[in-house]
Amino acid sequence: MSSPVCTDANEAVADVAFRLNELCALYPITPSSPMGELCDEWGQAGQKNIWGSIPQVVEMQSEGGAAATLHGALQTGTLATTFTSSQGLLLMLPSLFKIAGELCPCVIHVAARAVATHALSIFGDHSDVMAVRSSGFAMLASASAQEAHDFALISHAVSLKTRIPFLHFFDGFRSSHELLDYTRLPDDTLSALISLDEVLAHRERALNPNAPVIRGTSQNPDVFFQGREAANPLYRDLPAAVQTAFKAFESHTGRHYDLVSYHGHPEAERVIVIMASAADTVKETVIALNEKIGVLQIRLYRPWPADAFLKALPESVKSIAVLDRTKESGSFGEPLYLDVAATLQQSGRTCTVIGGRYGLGSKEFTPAMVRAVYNELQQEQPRARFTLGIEDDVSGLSLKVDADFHIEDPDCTRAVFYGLGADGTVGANKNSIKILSKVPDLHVQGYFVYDSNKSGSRTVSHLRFGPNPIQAHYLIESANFIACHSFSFTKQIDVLAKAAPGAVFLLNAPHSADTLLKHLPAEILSRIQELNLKVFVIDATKVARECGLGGRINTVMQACFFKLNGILPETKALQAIRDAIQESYGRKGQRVVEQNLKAVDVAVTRLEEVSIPEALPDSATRPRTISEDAPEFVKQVTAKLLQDRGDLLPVSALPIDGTWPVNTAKWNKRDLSPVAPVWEPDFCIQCGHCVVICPHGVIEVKQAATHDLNSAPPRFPAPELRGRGAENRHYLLQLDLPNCTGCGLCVEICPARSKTRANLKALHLEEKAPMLEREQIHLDFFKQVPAQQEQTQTRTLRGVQFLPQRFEFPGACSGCGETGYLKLLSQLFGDRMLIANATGCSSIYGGNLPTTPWSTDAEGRGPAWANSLFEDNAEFGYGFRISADLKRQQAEVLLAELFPDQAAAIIQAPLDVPSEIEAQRKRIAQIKTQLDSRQDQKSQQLLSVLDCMVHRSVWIIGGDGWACDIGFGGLDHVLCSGRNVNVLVLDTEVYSNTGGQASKSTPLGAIAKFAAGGKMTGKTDLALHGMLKGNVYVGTVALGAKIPQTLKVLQEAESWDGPSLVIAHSPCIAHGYPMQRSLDQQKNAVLSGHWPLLRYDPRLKEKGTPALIMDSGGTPDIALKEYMYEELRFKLLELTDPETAADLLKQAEAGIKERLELFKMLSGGGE
Amino acid sequence: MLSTTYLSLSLSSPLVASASPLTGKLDTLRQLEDAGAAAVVLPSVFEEQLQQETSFMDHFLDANTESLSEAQNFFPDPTLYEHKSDLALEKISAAKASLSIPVIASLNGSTPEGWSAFAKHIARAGADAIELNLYDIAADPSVSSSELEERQLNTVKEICNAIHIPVTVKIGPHYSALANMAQRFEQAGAAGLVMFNRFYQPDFHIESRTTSRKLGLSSSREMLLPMSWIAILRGQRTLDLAATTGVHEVDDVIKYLMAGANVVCSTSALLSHGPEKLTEFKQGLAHWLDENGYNDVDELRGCMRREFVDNPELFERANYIKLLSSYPG
Repeated sequence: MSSPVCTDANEAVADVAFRLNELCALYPITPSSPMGELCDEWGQAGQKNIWGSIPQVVEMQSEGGAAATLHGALQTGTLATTFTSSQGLLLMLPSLFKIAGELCPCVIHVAARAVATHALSIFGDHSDVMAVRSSGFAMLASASAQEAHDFALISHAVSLKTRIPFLHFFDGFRSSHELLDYTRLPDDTLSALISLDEVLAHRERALNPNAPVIRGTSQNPDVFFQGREAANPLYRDLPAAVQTAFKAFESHTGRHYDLVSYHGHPEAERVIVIMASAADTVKETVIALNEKIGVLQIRLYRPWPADAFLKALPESVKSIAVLDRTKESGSFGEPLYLDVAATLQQSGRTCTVIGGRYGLGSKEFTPAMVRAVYNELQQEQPRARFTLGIEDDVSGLSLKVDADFHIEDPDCTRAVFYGLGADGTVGANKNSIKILSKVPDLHVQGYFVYDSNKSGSRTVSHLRFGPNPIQAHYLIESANFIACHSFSFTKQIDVLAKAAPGAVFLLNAPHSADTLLKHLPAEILSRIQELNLKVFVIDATKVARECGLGGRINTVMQACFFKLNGILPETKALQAIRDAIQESYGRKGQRVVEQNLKAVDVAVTRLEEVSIPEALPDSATRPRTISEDAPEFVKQVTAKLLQDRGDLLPVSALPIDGTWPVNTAKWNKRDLSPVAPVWEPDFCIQCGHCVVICPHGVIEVKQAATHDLNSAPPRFPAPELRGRGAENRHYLLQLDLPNCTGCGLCVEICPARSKTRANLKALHLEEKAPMLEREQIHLDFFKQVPAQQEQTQTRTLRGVQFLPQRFEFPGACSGCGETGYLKLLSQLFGDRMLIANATGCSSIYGGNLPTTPWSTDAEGRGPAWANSLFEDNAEFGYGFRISADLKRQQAEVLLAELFPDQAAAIIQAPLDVPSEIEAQRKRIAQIKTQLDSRQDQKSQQLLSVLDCMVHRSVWIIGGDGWACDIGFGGLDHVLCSGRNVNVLVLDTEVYSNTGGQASKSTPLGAIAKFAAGGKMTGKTDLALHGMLKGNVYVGTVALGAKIPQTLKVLQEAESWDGPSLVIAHSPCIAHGYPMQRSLDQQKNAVLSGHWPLLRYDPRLKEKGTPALIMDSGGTPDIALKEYMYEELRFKLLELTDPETAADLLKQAEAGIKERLELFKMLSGGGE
Repeated sequence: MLSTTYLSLSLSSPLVASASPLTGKLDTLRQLEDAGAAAVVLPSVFEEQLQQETSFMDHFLDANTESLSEAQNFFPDPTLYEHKSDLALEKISAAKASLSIPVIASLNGSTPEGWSAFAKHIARAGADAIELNLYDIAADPSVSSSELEERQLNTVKEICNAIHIPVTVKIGPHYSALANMAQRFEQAGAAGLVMFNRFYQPDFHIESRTTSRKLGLSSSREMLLPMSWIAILRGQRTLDLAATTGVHEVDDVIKYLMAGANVVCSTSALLSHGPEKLTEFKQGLAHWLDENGYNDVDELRGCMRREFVDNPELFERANYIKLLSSYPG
């Protein structure tokens, strides 16, 4: 018997898929990415499948490519699989039809996720799998890690037997990322259930020149239809084959499954029909309610098992509610509902059948909602269509849910932990679950919720432990243990919202038990008293620091949790942690192990219980989340999202088409860093480097007139503006401290040093807290000082610092290497800019709620931004261009007709420099004034398109994964269009957003996921690709290496009346080095020749000079390894496989030499 | 004729290939052996480097993990990667397995902590001896010379106590009382001294106001300092002395042996001319000994040590004064 372990569905599925297949062809997409990554890692570690070979894992350029590779491998007799979700599955759809149509046995494992509609959601529902239900794949739904593990095997076995391919799905995040105890299938069981004969038959059917056949013929109306019907018997027999496999599986494992399982009262009158993880929630609610109710869990969804359904449905049932985790706008009902309704209608059974939607985008599905459904079924005339889990005040569809109804198992310990992303809380909790999963007869569950920020993210861990199997696949609603790992959370959110009466509250705070209470907000104090909580405090940050663990408080808090939770006797619990430390950190050396062991010992002695007096101390209430000055929408909607109360917003509060206001990031004061820069105006040289380099837009400068500073607050610094013509002007530099992440790049780049104090720059980091109040006063004053700067025609570094920033405070990683470019673009062209943004990091920090960084200037102008998808961005932006040009054409015609005297001036206006654009705006304004009084159709039409007479600057923005992989075809097409679009590739040389998978832009020798042994092929040269087209402006830039060159490239690109391609070197946390060193690394990238700074300007050809200009040297100035080995992605290979690293370094050096020679030649400087 | 002993190891000649990129790979190690190296010193494992690299690797493999819903981490599974401290051990084993000459492992450290454990691993991996490279820049004004010396001696003691293979200590020339330190190193358990370490000295870029590190290959002129000290110590100490720095011609080998070196280590000449340079040294030395009537290197060794020269004051301060006074002013 295999021993119980603990895992999530992703790992449980990958484990089986890896052992059964020879090929995994895939493309990363949340939340299925870990399945492919694990397979790759196991392969790298030399693990084998049950056939004795190491499965190959290949990362493709898109899911479309993965599915096609899968198809090809299947057609040639390989056992192959893939993993995907959401849009990825949709991109596979054409291949799915082919694979099914040609009866190629395989299993595709899907962590089911919402398909992007009005917005992107990375979270779980069934809209993806439902969108492909007509493909001909059999569909099997699993509810937990155990089921997913088992069904991965069963579906594979049945597919080989029946030749029908399977789509095996489970709920994204809820199952894919939920840790649960499970029993691992041994190889023997896998081998027993997979018939070698069927594997050989699969190989026998392979395309083979020794016995050739032809597949994929093109058929005419005479036979196509008949051919589609030819495989019907296989589908007819499939449910029975699955049931047979279930039985065979049970004989080996003891675990019983049915195609359609019924749970509940044998004479139930009301029944819910449902699939996947939510079925467990219904089951436990049915037990708790103990009424004449039941649940039908559909496991095999396609082919629809009508007979099994009718057989499982008790005769006594009078009404049925079918719950779909998807939405089909405009349909009569959702798919599962329609299947059930049709089945009943055909069978002659007369039941009331109603259909409801639940859980879209991982919306919670709880026992209270289940009860609401059963209550609805009891109504004389239940609602035919309804929704669950939201308040629908628009269509009135939502069922009312009693929020106080809980059925948590009283024997189950329920613990909720609030942590910071960087503090190790989630890792520690995963570790705790694994420790406790080894306790005999103890069942465990862990689920982790992250917010959307990439810096300073908040994590909430939900852990359950108990003697009974855990089926509660929803967040803990009533916790008997709450831990708050960051004291600042007490002032931001209601960390005790989920506290059960008498619960333990563990707090990491810089206060002792004696003084803690007076530092807590009044709301927390009253809850402590009301709920009679037991409060414990520890200064874990201090303990961690003392033990040499830096900011990682995980071990300290874990030790406290084990001391307090009572699941294990204290001595045993602490020993279990010590063992786990040895196991987890042993690889890192004895020193790290000892530091953590010490942290355990110190933690248990420093943990203090706080006595709660009858009379609580006076305490301030929690500060407002959002300023009173914020717009109404921000106060009513955004504020709720920030308070973790977005679930309470009714449907009417949300836009109907996904349109949200900009300018919201500034209302979210995140307080991310304990340090922030201090400005020294006395020796600042006013160069503007800091303003440009700040990735978070927290440094703003202004020129001010002396008379505007009369009411300046005390100590408001306003040195005289340097330079000619600057009399009576002052240089104001202001920091927005709460939004500063403390990345330190402004300090790194600052060239001004004190001549009297060693190592003091004009910007230097200091502790933030003492400055906050003063700087807020200064910021308030700064905001209202009129800016005196004139429009400069050429955007130099010194001049550009004064331009309004229309991109501020993105939730990007601290020190992000991408955001500086976007901020700069927003300054240069933001007043007339349309942005098409590919999915990826830039769409997340750029467009993930609650707040977004795109903002406006004093005139209310700013970039209009939209994200369509990952794969279609170039074409999406191309649509913007065509649209803007069409509007301009219409405006020109109408202007000529309606305003013949003024038309020429507007149509022929040069718009090359800012002053000309301003002049054009004035002309347009004059026309608008005249149009105001006209009501005729043509005037109205002109009014609607007139603004396009100011040239729209179209920017197509995305990462290297988009540009070099999934969107490459579209990008290439758009670059070939000749149209005036500007493409900005934020090149991090890796898939940053999904966690560091290799892209074709990943350099030779870099370690990344799917390139664990170092990438063996070179980086795609997108710049050269663009240049070869001849009419594309191409620029490569590295902001931290040469700001003026970046400025020049962006402006030249924008001014070129044709396609432009700018490739921006973008340092990223996935490179593995401190981000404050990114400026040096950018310089080194350039000096080593890894990242030559190039400008290819087709205009130069007209002047008879070579179009290519090399702004960096034609030969490397430093050795490549001086650049590479400062980054872990390269260094890791040198440290662990120096010989391969040396070989790859040599190849990379040769590649650079070759490229530089080529560029030199193209620039007229070479042989 | 050329055979000798060093650190109780029997060597076919007094020619040792010092730690360099050539001793880092099996193919070049074999070439060195074929060319006549009597022993090889494998590339140094730096204490600071090991610590820094380990913590760099661990920090960034762990950094930003479990913080984001879409990216639980940013690198492949850390367990796929083993730091080269393990690889260094593998390399020792591999070198031992494929060479028939003694393999000396090199450790570069400045503190006693943590080294004895690693030295044990090295011994277990099969190294015949350890060359402990003591590298200190005494730039901290709060650390006195005696503290520094004590720390170094403790390091030597710790390692010598921890392992049973011989330990030789590679030192720099900058001690106030080198002869005394040599004695104390011997008392601490060192079986030999390697003289001398060459230090990295930073240079400045005047435009960028940054520093750069350079270490060129040594020249024959640099051998005078170690040769003088070998000549001084040879008569004072029984521990073995290895000469390093500036060995470019066979005459240089002969001079070091005459001063009293047990072995002569070469790096720069091998890097410049390839492993075959050792063949030239070996043949040249044998030829010279034969030509000049020496039966073996033991006869040659120390014949020019301080006590044996005609004018021993040349090795002392008196000579310095004479030299200055003879300088045409």
